[in-house]
Amino acid sequence: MRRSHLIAILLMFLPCMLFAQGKEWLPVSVSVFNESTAVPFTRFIPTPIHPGVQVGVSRQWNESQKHYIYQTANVSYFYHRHLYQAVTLSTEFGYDYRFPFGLNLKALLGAGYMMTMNTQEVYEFKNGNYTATNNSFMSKLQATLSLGAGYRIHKKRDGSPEIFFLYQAGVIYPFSADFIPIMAQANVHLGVKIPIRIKKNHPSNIEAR
Amino acid sequence: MKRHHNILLTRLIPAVFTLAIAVGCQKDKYVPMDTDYSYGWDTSAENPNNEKYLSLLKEMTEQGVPGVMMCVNRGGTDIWLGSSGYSSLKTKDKMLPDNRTRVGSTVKTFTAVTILQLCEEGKLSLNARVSDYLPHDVLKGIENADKATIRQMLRHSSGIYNYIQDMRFQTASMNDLTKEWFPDELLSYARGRSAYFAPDEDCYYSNTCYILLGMVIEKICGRPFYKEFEERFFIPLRMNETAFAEEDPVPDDLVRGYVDFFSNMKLLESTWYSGWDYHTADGGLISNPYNLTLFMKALFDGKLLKTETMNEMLSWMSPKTQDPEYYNMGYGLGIFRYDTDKGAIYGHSGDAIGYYAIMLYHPESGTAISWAVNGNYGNLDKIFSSKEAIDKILNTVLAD
Repeated sequence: MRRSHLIAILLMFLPCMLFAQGKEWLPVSVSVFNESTAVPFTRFIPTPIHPGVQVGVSRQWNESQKHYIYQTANVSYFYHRHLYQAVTLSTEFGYDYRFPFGLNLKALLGAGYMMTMNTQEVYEFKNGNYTATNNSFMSKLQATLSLGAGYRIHKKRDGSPEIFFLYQAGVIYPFSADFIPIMAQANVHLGVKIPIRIKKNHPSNIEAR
Repeated sequence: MKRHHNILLTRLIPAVFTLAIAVGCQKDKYVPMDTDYSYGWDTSAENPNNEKYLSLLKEMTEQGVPGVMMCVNRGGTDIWLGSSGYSSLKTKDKMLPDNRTRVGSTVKTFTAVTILQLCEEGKLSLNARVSDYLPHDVLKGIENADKATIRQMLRHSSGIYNYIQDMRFQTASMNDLTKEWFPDELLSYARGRSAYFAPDEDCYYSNTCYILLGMVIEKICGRPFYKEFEERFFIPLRMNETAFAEEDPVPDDLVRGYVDFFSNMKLLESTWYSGWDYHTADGGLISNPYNLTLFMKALFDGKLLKTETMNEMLSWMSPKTQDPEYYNMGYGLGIFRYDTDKGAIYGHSGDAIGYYAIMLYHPESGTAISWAVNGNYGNLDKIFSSKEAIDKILNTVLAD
């Protein structure tokens, strides 16, 4: 993984990092998810469970009564038994179609930088010998497409919390050069988005959520 | 609302991390290696080629193969056994020439010889359709399975889709590395998939066919296919270190397997990761190179099949497309012909996750050769299974 890839990903976060300025609400989402290597849309929740958690913030780009366009910045962790555990920085561009009764349908396109670490001892071949090590880090890129739905609990109120579900289909590259170059991934998220008030209410800085 | 935030931050997230750590702490049982069968008759150290052969193995381990065993069996007492490297990278136990390892698809030759013996016994016909022996429920949805013959299945010329190539299977097995797969689950990945070609139009390797052939053996013999292997081969040929994985998939004395999943020569232990290999006749054999040469010598010395049946087995069909980086190959019944610089060589190789083995027979010299390693994939394969690697061994062993 080139350092330039990481820098590019971090640059994509910038809008979200800066967005809080002048806003009243900072939408923070927390989700738990099941990570799986799977061909997306073939099985809903493949087993065994590989648990993960994701925390993110989002920035509103455009909003109307029916349409909501936004960008997220996320950090996540998952534990895939036997294979690896990973921390991922990602950003997504999302679109919600809102129904008047509080339900919304979501679609998000994302990209991320993933740092994986092995979950078991690894034997590294160096200078003609194998030595055991627990430190084996690898960098990967991730591209995702998420589809799902959310429900705003207080649909008419600014700063309403939302519960959401996302089916996240993705690919990881490089997975294993010359062996399995790209690996498919399917993650199922269940989470809440909770706007946190970061500024006192003023008509000019309300983000109508 | 703030209270809810606090619950999320103080309870939910730590709970997920605790779960992750708890799962991570479940380590598989590790049993140290403690076997040394020490064949009493082994005179390999006095063999004039001992150093030459050992240097071949040492060269492999110097390039990163964890451990390797090899046997050169010219018949009678002219048998050489050797090894290099480790059977366990954790304990640094040395690989011994008679250790037990996974030999994967080499079992297909055992499956084929069993089928051919059943033909000799009049219980089966090579030209009969598999659908004459297996119920519709087993074959439904597998294109060509209703019309393919036993012979076409043995030769990989049925065109039936190979379940291992299905992306859903590949990702699912990666998702659950220690899962044990049963025949119906594996066959489900071949259902609804188009056949590669009409029967006998070409040859294309298909594990699906050998799952079905194992079921045919069970149907005819009325017991598990591997029980036939035991009675027909393992016991009479004194293949004492050979067993099928079904009853004890990870015996305590199995050498540890390693896999270069990420092509970076940082190997993961994979001893428990071959669960798609434990219950079907397309893989799952546990053996060692010496035992495999016993089988090959018996087969080609005419102890297992009649001459006319051997002629059937060794009747070759060439695939329309040959791998330009490998030998030109002919497909026989459960065996391949490799066109090497040393002439035609017959044999079969096999992979499991973290293991590779090959058993070969050179008809001109009557020599059986087999080697097995406990590491594969990624950057490892080219060291022991590429054309160059095999040529090097053949050119050394068959130099005289």
